[in-house]
Amino acid sequence: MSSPGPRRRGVSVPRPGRGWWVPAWAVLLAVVLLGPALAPGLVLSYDMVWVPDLTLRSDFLGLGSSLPRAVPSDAVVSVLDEVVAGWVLQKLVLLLPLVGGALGVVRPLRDLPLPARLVAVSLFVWNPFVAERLVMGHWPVLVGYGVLPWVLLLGRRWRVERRLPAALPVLVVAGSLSASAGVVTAVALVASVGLGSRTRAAVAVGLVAAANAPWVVSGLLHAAAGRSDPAGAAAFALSGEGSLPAPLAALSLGGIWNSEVVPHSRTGILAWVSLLVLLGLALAGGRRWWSRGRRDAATLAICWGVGLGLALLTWASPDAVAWVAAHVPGGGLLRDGSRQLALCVPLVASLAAVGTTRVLEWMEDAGAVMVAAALVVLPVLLLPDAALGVDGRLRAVDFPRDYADARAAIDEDAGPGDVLLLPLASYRQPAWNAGRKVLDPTGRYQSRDFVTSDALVVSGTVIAGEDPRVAEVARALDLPTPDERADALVRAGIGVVITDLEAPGEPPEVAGEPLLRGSRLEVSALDGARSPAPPTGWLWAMAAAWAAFVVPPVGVAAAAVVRRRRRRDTP
Amino acid sequence: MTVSSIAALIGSLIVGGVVGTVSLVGVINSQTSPPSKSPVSVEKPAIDYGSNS
Repeated sequence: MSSPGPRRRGVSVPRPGRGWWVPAWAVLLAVVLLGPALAPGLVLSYDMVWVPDLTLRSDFLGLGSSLPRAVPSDAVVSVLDEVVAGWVLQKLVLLLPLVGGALGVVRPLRDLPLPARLVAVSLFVWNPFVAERLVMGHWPVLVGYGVLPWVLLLGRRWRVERRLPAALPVLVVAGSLSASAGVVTAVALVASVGLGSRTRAAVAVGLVAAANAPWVVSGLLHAAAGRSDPAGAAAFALSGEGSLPAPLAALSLGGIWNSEVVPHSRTGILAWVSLLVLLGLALAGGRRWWSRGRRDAATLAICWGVGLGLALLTWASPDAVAWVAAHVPGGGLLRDGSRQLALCVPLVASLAAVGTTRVLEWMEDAGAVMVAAALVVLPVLLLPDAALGVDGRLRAVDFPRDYADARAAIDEDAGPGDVLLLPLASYRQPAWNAGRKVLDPTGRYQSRDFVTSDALVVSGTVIAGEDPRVAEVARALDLPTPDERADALVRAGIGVVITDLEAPGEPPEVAGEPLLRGSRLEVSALDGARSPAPPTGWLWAMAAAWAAFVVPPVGVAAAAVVRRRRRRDTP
Repeated sequence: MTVSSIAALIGSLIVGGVVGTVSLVGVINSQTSPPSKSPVSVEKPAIDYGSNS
């Protein structure tokens, strides 16, 4: 991206150069941000459920009875953790997107002075969006966030050089590990590639469709049950933070619906100062930022506009979002509006970097150094409680022994059938996780498909789930005697019942053969169950979807390797 | 003293003030914040996914 270089007025702005400052600063910030989350063990926070060894199963391939909320992310993890230990893989997944994304976001800014690039790094790594999504456990969203600057860069290179970069299909797949991440990656790719060439645009849309095929096809197969509870639209809409109204919270990259995960500093004056600093830098650098390259600026502006627009839509018109969620299969994707704010960050970071350059040009040497240092660390100072695992909310823990014992007991002694998790509630707050909330990890820990509640409770309001099998199981549990419940569960394909003794609520008794009586988990087996088999048509459809997911990145990467070898072998 | 040096001085004072204030407020905020988690009520059958309040 071309640039007329910084104008100087009585100030020696550090010369642009490579060096290790930028990567070192990105690593330092990411390490300080994640803090105790990087210790040995697994981090369990809200939707982030990692286990030592995730076993691939049909649900993860989109063949279960529930909506494909963790497709393809669970399947990808279950394959990768055969190569790298689960806890190591989780550290990499948390750390690399922040560092890699920061390096990507400063790449088009290489002509700017070092402090300006460091400001961009600070803003990319250390902002409310990252802190809130980390605590919320939305790691596929953050992987998409880390990939985003590179998708923009390679999309641009494809447009300019008219040749598909080999890494782009791989990045598009990495950026599409969940439905909402896939939407972000798709917008970035289409915006950067543009519509100048119909062929290129068609290939770009094809890449996006292939990378998102697993969850899209699975969602279509579940279309009958794929309509979300409209109550979720209001519950998950963009929200204000403290005294900051929702639109202003979104402008400063915050605004998640769940006030429990909002850093405390976002509820006070620091959030206002943060907004004013961002606006000041945007005002200082706006004109030059635009003049650096209008096409590239337009790409970032499109992403920013789509991201902010989708977020604001959920706040301004939750009824419209509720209608879409209730009537359009997959429409529930839109309801957590602030997830799309990832699209805003590349523009905010680059604008702040150019604004910093302008401010430094107005300064004398001594003042410039001080101002530069202040601006570089300001994102950290304005969000101090993002440090050290977002104020200790992200910590690595070890699973109690009961979980491994339960898995072994089921694998060795239980007959066929799926697993039912009791009490029938989706969330847990285990003492061994220091009372931090997490989606019940029991099902993922063992190796079979499982049934658990998919209803969510937000501020006392129940957001109904969509899985028809959960409703069938709930009806079975409502029967009057343990034997009747067991018979009905067997008919529903349940062969194992795991009861979490620490979870609140008293699950109904089910007559089964005890396999484990631990201090935290009890496991019993039910005879005669058979796991429901998906229709043959579903198997073919999902096989095609997974082939579409895997083939483009593998094919393009293999072609690139072959091309490189030929070049090397050619005298 | 040139105009630019005066501007630098003023800029330095402003930024220094902002950084100092922000640091102080940040430290006070982080040290006086209420607990982010409350104990689960034994009577409550389901754990909230989150809160809008």
